[in-house]
Amino acid sequence: MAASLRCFLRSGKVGTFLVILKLFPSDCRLVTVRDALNQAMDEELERDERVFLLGEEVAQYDGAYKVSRGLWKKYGDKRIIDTPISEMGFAGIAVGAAMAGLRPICEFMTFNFSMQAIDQVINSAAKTYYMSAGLQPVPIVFRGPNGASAGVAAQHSQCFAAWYAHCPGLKVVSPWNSEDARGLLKAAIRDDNPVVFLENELLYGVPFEMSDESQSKDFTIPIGKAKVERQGSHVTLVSHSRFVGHCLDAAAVLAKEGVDCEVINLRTIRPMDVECIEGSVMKTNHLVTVEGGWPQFGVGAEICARIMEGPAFNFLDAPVTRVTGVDIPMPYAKILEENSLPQVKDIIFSVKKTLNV
Amino acid sequence: MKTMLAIISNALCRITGRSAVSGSTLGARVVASRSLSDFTPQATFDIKKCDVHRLEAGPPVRAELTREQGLQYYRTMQTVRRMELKADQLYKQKIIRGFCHLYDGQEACAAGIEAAINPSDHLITAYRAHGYTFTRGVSIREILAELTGRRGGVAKGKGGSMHMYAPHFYGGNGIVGAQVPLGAGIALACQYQGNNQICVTLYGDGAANQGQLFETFNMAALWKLPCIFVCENNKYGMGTSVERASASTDYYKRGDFIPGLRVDGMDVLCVREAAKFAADHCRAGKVSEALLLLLAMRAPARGDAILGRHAFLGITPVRVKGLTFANVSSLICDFYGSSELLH
Repeated sequence: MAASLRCFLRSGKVGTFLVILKLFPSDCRLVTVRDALNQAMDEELERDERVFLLGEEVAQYDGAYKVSRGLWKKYGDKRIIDTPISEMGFAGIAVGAAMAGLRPICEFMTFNFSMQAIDQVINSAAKTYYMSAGLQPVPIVFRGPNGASAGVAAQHSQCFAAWYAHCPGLKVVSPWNSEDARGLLKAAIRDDNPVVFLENELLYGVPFEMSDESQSKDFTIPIGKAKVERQGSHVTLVSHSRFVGHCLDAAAVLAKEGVDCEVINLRTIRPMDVECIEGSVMKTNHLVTVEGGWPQFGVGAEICARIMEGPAFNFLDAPVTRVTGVDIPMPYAKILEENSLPQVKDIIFSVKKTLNV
Repeated sequence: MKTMLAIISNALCRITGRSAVSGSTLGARVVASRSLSDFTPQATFDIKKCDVHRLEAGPPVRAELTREQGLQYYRTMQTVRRMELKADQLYKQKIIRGFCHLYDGQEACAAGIEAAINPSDHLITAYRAHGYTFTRGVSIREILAELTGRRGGVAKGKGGSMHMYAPHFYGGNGIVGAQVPLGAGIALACQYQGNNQICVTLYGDGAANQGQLFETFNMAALWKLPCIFVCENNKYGMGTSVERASASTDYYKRGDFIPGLRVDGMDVLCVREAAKFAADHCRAGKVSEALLLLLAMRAPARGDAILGRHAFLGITPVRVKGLTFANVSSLICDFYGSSELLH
């Protein structure tokens, strides 16, 4: 029942949300990813005077996706800054402000536009602490939606996890549910390193349960630690962001057929929690990686390489399978788009192939 | 003080005169001598008028210079010149590797700007940064150690020529033009923290055509950031002359809605006055930002020494490259005894 409820929920309809509120007892908190991000930013803005948010439409429009709703009203022009459409310029300004002692949150409307500013992210932010031998830290967070949305076509659908995770000097974080979003964003803002925070537009409206301890103002999730979302013994599924949900759905279906999947939510892409994956593979002997990005030089490719280089290789009973986005620019037509991204049936198919069942 | 020195000076003259007669150096006499009391403590110079853009008036056309200031600027520029010439030598010997962008010939810019701002102000520049690294407080030893990749370098050898940092000095940036938005961001931080500091953001004539500059100018003007943008025009972006790269070489006007000045970058006093003018403009919050243009020519030949030692032994008028005095020989002699300038 929980699984079908979750599927229903993931369609993101507001009405469902209200129905669920009535069904569940009041001490179980259901919070959308959007609200979790909003609360996290609100609390961090309140906690530290140096934190501020800048980006397109973040202030008076309440955020292009309403993630920063209410913040401008509460904190004003000084802390919540609307920028012109000048990614390279305002990303550089944010990095400069971080160098001079502030703690900016730089929002990209989507990470596709971060390509305009990628020089500032990599050469000005990521490398500076090392180049200066520790003299110049850059405590900045770059955040925004990453990866495919719905029907926005090729130039607005790219996943940048692999691109940013390639670079030393950056931390790259990719939350899945509301608790991830809240804890990781707070941790990212408090981190003295530049952090790339990859959200997902399709998850913004999805409500998830949040634990009591996650409501604390000092609740943070450590960057660099993965979470085992579901224990299993036959195969390990590793994923990040939206596709963690798909993995859990696939696991539910496979459970009925007697296949017990362990699902790992990476949470952080860089530094990757390889120990968690290795520990799991040494238990299950089979590994399937699932991601929305393209296959070449991607997150799954990195996991394969790291598993091969470590102790878990000897425990594999079959080669690792990668389930990824199709190696094409994202098409527009719904049927093409759906088939360009991993679906639950693709994960099930890959698991069965790996297990040879 | 002056009369006392005069008395001592005269007494010494008489004493030496007497001992010269009775000593081994027969016939040698001190014909004339100068003492500290004879030197002018301060002088006023005429400087070139700056072309203005969107300004009612520019900086003053006369600059005052005290002895101490003159010595300080001279020392700074001379040190930078010699450091750069040495770096050039080391680079040719392959002891310095990779890139080595030298600042000799442009020292007046660094010295003039530093004279106009406070140590608590901020400065960021591009990769031709050795001069500013020095004026912002890093020792020659740490700079040369960094250039030669040693642990004693300011960035422990991890940065190299283009990545040296100091408090309120943000490098040293290798990507052409990238430092300009960074500088505006530092200015934003100054405004945010309300500390009345400014940021001087330098770039070259080559970077003047980068798109991110115009994005930055827009935001700096919109938000009234306390930022002075400085274009150091040495007439070449790598091997390409400005005429071949820019549709408009009036770089001081390229900020459009940002006021600008065209400044003689070879004259340290001109630079200082213009930078002071710009700093006041920023801090007063009138428009809160200004654009400064510097004209600086790169030194054409490495052998073009800043001054010959012999030039100061006499009373000949000397044009010190980058340090322009009025063409009055007696003024130079009044200003400094030769021994102070030879070191």
